[in-house]
Amino acid sequence: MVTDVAHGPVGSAHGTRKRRIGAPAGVSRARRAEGRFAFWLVLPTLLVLGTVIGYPVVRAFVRSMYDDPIGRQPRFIGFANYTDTLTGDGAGEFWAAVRVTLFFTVVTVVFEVIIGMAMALVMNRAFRGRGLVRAVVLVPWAIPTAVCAVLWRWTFDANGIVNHLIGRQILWTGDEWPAKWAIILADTWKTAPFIGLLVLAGLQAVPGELYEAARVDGAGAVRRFTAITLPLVRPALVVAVLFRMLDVLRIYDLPQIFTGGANDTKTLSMLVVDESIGSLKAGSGSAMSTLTFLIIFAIAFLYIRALGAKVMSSRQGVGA
Amino acid sequence: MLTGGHGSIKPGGLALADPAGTTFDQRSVMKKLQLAVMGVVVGCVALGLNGCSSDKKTSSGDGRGPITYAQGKDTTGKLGSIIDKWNSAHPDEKVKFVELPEAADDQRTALVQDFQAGAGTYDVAGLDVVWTAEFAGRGWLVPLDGIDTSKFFPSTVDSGTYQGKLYAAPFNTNAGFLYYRTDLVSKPPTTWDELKQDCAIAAAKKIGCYAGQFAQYEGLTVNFSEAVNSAGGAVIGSDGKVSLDTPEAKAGLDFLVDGFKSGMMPAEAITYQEEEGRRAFQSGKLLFLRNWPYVYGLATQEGPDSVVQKSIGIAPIPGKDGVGASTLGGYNLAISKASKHQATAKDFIAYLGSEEVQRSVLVDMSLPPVLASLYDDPALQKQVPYLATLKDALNKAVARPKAVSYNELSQEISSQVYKALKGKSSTEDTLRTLQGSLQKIVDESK
Repeated sequence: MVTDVAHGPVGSAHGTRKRRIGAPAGVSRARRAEGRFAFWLVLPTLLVLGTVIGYPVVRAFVRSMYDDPIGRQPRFIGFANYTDTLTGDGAGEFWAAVRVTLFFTVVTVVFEVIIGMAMALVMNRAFRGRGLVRAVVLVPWAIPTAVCAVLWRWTFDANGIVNHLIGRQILWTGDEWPAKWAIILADTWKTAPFIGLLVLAGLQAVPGELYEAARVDGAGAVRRFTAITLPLVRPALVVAVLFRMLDVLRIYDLPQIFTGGANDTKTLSMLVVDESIGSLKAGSGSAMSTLTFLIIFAIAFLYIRALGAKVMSSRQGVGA
Repeated sequence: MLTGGHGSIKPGGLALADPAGTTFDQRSVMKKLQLAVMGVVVGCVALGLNGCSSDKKTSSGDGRGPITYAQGKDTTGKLGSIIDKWNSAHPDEKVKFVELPEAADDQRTALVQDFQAGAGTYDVAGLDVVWTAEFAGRGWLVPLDGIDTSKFFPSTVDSGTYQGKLYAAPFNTNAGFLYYRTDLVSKPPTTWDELKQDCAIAAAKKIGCYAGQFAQYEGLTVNFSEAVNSAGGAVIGSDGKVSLDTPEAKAGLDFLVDGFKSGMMPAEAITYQEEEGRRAFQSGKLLFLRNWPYVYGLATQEGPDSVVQKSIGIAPIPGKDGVGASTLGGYNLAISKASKHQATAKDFIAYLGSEEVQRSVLVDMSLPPVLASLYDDPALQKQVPYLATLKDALNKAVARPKAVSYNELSQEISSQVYKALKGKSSTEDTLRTLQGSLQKIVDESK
C-alpha cells in the first residue's frame, strides 16, 4: 500500500527532471511547473511516511540511548545499551539470535525459491484444472501465519500425525534440530506460494515464440529453462527473494507459537519483543531493535548492490 | 502489527517486478527507488517491533464515578452478572468491563502499555499473582489501604503484598494437584519415593508414569520452584537472597532431572505445557499428572475425549519427605495510579472480595476462591469434590519468587532448568549458574 503509492509519483517526478536536460527553453518552464506540481502531489505521502515510519525509528533510536530504571526517570547513557548487547552480558543471547535468524533466512529462502519456481512452472502450463491448481497452491499463503503455526504445532505434536505417519517418536518441539526443521518446513509450506506467484507473473511476460524458436534450434528442455526461462524471470525472482528475505529476517510469530524460543530457535524479533515487552526494558529493547534494523538494512542493501544492477541490465535485454 | 506490515509490502513488490516501461534513462532512478522502497520496508520492520513508551505524569484522584475493570477473557461468562449486580446498586459509579485476551502474556502486554503511558484506561485490573511486584515496583499501582483481608488465605494476601504494603487484593487463587488414576492406584503417593515405587504400575500397563509442565516456558519455572519448595528449599529466601546453593534446591532439581533419566517422566513430557499434559492424562497415557484444578472439570466430563472420566483421583502434590508445597497461582485486583475514581475502585474491589461474589467465583466460575471460610462449607464441599484437597494444598502453597523483574527471572530459570532436563548441563552446574545470574537480576532491579 505505502510502497506502491510512493512508487508511482516519485518515479514520474524523477523521470521528468531527467528528460528536462537539453530541452528547449519554452518547454523547460512547463516542465518546471509540472515538477513543482508533482512535488505537492508527493508531499502528503512523504508526510505520512515520515510520521508512521520515520518517527518510530528515530524515537526507538533516542530511547535506546537511555537506561531502564525501576521507579525513576530513564537517564541518558549514550551507547551503553549497544555495547552491552554486542559485547556485554546479553551478547551470547544476541549473537545466538543473529545466527538462528540468518540460518532460517538462508535455508527457507533456498527451499522456497526451488519449490516456488516449480509451482510457477506448473501453474504456467496450459492444462485442465489449471485454475483449481492455482487456487489450491495459494491456500497456504492465505492462511494467517499464527493460525498456520498452531496447525503445524498440532501436526508436529509428540502424538501428532507426523509421528504417526513416520512411525517414530520424534519430539518436534522438544529437540533442537527437529524444532528447527519443523519451523523451516512450516515457513516454506506457507510462503513458497508467494515466490511461485511472483515468478508466475514473470513467466507470463515471456513470449512463447522464444521457446518455439529455441525448440526449432534444437534446444532441450533443460537448455530452454536455463537459457530462456531463468534469465527472463530473474527480475521477478530477485525481487521476490528480496521480500522473502526481509520477511524471514524479522520472523516472529511462527517460532514464537511453535517453540516459544526454546531449543535454540529464538530469532532477533523474538529477542526484541522479550526484552522490551517481556522484561520491560524499553531502552535495551530499542537498542536491539535498532541493531536488527541495521542488520536487515545492511543485508538488503548488499543484496540490491549485488543483484539490483543486474536486474536492470537483464531488463534492458528483454526490451532490446 | 507484524502482519499488518506483511500485507503492506506485497503490492510494492509486484510493482517492482513489472518490467514494463523501464527505459535506459530511468535505470539509475529505478535503482535509487529500490533503495528507497527498501528503506521503507525495513522501516516497517522496526515500526512493527517498537512499542513507543512515554512517561507522562497523570494526576491521580480520590474521586467517585464510573470506572473500567480489565481482566483476561471471562471464559465462564458469569462475571457479567456479578458486575451487573454492582451496577444496579451503584448507578452513578458504574463499572465497565473490558475483556483482555485469554493468554496471560497478552493481558500483561495490554496492561503494561496502559500503565506505562499513564493513560488511565483501566481503573481496576486483574493481575496474575506474579505481576504484583513487577507493577508495584514500577510505581504503577496505588497501595490498597483499608481493604479488609483478614478473612482471606494468608498466602493469597501475601501474593498481593509488595514491600510490606498490599497493592493487589486477592480475587481467586490456585494451586497444583496431583491427578492420579483411581483404577490403578489405591492410595496416592505423598512422597517422591512412593511416587517412584508406583511407577512400576505404570510400567506394567505400558503407560507414562508422571508428568508436569516441562516445556521451556513459565510453567517450568512453576514446576521447578515447586520441586525446590517441596524439598524444603526456596528459590528466593525470606531474606530476599537467591538460595539455590542449598542441598534442598539440589534435591528438587534432581527429582526432575532423574525423573527424565529414569523414564519416570516420559520423554515427550519435555514438550508439555498444561494442555498437552491434560490430553495425555485424559487419553489414558499417564498414571500421574501435576496440573491445576481446571483439569478436573474437563477430564471428568462425559465424552470421547476422556477415557478416564470415572477414575480420576486428586491429591496434594508429593514432596521429598511428605506432602509437597504447591506453587500459588491466581489473580489479584489492583488500582492503576492513573485512575481518577480510586474511591469507587476500592469499593468495587471490596465487593469482589465479598462472600456473595466469592461464592459465585467457586460455584459459577469454577475458580478457587480466596475466602477461607468457603472451604469449610459442607454444602459446597459436596458440590465441589476437590474442595478439601484444595484447602490442604492452599495451606501449604508457596508464592513464586517475588521480584520486580519476575519475567526476566522466570526466563532465566526456565531456560537453565530446561538445559538440565535435556541433560546438557549437570544439576550442580545449573544451580551454580542460576545462583549467580538470578542474584544479579534481583540486585539490578532493586
